[in-house]
Amino acid sequence: MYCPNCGSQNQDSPRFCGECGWALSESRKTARKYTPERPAAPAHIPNYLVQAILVTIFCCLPFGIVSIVYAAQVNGKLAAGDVSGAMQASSSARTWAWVAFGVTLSLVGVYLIVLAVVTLLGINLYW
Amino acid sequence: MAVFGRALSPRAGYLGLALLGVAGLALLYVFDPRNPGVLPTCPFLGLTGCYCPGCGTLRALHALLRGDVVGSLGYNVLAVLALPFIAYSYATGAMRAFGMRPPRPAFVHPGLIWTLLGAIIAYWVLRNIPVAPLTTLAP
Repeated sequence: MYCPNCGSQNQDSPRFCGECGWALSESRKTARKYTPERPAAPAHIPNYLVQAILVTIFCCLPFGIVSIVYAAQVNGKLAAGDVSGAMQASSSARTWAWVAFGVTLSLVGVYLIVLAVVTLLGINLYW
Repeated sequence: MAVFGRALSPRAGYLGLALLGVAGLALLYVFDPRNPGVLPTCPFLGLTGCYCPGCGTLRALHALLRGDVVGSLGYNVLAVLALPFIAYSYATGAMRAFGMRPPRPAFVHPGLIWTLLGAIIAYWVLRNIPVAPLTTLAP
């Protein structure tokens, strides 16, 4: 079904829209209320710009920059009327933001483990 | 904004984020990240010796929570300026997740996003240059 909030297509009938998180089960109840004034025009495609900038600033890795580039492409393609291209860029922006986040989380985890091991060894050496 | 993707319900995601945020800010209010032993050095700073664009954010937030606006801008002006936008993005996303209709987002011109990307990269480079007017950008 199509999400009434962002217009993206969802497989079968999930509870939430995969693109914008809109609660589809609820929108079915209120669908009648919005249908007349909002035809199925996919106008809002999330560009994940805020997430992209957050991971760029705080992860210090190039993946966040890739995500910002895709976020800019979402709006650029929307402005040019290329809705399917904008949706592809939107999905890439989200993917790369997650990659940046996941890689950073793993690296910080490794760093903390190394730090803990070094500290423990330090204590043992002084013992 | 589907922060937690398809796996977790957006409501649980936004509630979890709120709890994490409040807990984190409370810890930041109590503990001063400048004190030694509170936090280890950032891996990026430790490995490269360079400040990244996020360097000083915790100190900036701590200063802001304690009411020191000028001090927080001195630690990381970019992060402090980004705060209202992050809050707005969270609020509209949470409204969507809970079935409310947020105000229709203004269309951001793509040129503005490219400018922002350039500004972040410029900020990253400039705050590492140890010359008099640029040192104010360093944390």
